[in-house]
Amino acid sequence: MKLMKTGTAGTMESNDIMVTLEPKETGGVQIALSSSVMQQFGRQIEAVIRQTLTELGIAHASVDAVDKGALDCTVRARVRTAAYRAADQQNYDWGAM
Amino acid sequence: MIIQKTTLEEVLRNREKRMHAQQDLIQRYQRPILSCTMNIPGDVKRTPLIDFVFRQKMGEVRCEFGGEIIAEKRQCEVTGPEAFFVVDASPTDLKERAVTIESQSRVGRLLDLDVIDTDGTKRSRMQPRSCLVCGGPVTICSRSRAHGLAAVKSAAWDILTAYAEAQLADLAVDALKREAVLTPKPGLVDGNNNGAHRDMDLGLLLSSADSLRLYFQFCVDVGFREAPDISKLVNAGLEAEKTMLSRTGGVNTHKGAVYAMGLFLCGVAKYFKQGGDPFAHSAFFAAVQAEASAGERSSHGRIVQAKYLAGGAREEAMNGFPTARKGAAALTESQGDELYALLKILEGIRDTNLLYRGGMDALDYVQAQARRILAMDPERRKDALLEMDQECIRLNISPGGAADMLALALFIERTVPELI
Repeated sequence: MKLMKTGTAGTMESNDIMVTLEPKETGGVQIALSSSVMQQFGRQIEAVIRQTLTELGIAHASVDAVDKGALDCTVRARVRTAAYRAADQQNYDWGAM
Repeated sequence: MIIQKTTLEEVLRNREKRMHAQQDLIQRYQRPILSCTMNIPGDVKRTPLIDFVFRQKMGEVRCEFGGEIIAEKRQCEVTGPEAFFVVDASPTDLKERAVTIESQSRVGRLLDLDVIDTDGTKRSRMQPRSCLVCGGPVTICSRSRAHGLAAVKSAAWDILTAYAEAQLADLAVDALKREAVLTPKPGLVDGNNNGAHRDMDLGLLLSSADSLRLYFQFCVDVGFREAPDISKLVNAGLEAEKTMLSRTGGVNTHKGAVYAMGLFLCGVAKYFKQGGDPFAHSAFFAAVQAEASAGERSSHGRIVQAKYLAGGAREEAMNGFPTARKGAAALTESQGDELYALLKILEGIRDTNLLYRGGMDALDYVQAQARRILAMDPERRKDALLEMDQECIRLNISPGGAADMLALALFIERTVPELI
C-alpha cells in the first residue's frame, strides 16, 4: 500500500488510540507514542503498530500515536484505517479486520 | 427493543462519529461540550435497562447544569445512548462537576462524562477511574484483561440492577403519592377532602405508599431473575399487605397497588433486562401469579367480578394493563395533565370498587360524567370535577381501581416513555 498523504484515525476517548500516519520515502517506520499505560504496555503497542503496517506492506512512515488504553484489536483497527485514509482509499474493507 | 450485539468496528466508527458531532457543536457554539455515554463492558451496549439508567443520569446532569446548558443533542446507537450538552461554563469547572456526578453514586462508575474544550482537546480527570472488579486503576486491568470479560460484565450488571431496583421502587412510591395528592378527584381521598372514605386521609395514603418501597424492590428483583419463583412473589405481596395494614392501623389503602404495581414492576424489570414488551411480560406474571394464588381468600374485586362479570384489577393485569397505558398516553398527549389522564381512565374503566359500593348505577354515573367533562374546555374541567366529587361523596362511591391505574400510568410515563 502506498501512502499519499497524512491519514488519521481514532479518538481521545478512553480505550481508544489516535493514530496519525505520514508518508515517508525512506527511514523505515518511526513511531512517536504516548500512552496512559506507557510503562506497562508501551512496547506491545509499538509492536502491534509495526506489525500492522508490515501486513499492509508499508515500510516507511512516521506514526504519531496517542493511546488511552486501547486493546490490541483496537490499535490494529485504528492503524489500518489511518493507513487506508493516508492511501486515499475510501472503500476499505471493514470485514478484513 | 430487540437487543443487539455490537461489533468492534461499530464501536470504533461510532467514536469517530461522536468526535465529529462534538467538533460540529464546538464550532457552532464556541463553548465546551459535555459528552455523555455509558461505559458498558461486553458486546451488548444497549438494552432498555442501559437506556433507563442513562436517561435518569441525564436528568441529574440537566439538574446540575440547569440554565448553563445552551444546547443539547441526544442520540441512541447500537453502541449505546449518547448525549451532548453545550454548557456555558469553564471547561475546568465543567470537568470538576462532571467528575462529581460520576463519583457520587455506584452507577456513576458506568457513566462517561467527557469534557471537550473549545480547541477540541479532552479534559482528563485527575484521579484515574477504578476497575469494576478489583478497584485498582482501570486502564491496566482493562488493557491486560486481568479479570476476564465475564467478571467485568457481571460487576457492571450488578451495579445496573441495584440502581434500577432502588430507582424503580422510588418511582413507584412516588407515583402512588402523586396520585394521592392530585386534586380534585371524585370520591377519592385528595388534597381537599377524604372523598367517600371515612377511614383514611391523605396523610395515611402517603405513609402507606412509603411502606411499600421494599416490596417494590423485591418485585423488580423477581423480574430480573432468569427463573423467578412466583410463590415468593405471592408471599411478598401478602407480606406487603400486612406491612401496609400495620402502618395504616388496619385500613386497606393500597391493596390494588400492591397487586398492579407489583406485577408491572416484575414486567418492567424483565423488559429492562431482555427487551420485548413490559406489558406482555406483566400479563405473563399476572397469569402465573393467578395460578400460584388460586386458593387465595376473596377480595372485593373477586366478589364483584363474579356478580357483574366485570374486569377488575386482575383482568387489567392479565391483559397487560390497557387502562393504565391509556392513562399514560393521555399524560404524554396532554404534556402531563394528570386530571385529564384520570378522566380518560374513568371514562372506560370497569372499576370494581364502584361496582362494589354502588352497583352498575355508580359505574354508569362515573363513566358518563367522565365523558361529559372530557368534552368540556380544559379550563372548565376542574370545577366540574369538584362538583362530581361532591356527588360521589353523597352517593358514597369511590373509583379506587381508577386511582390504582392512574398511579400506574404516572409510573409508566416515567419509566418506559419510549413505549407510550
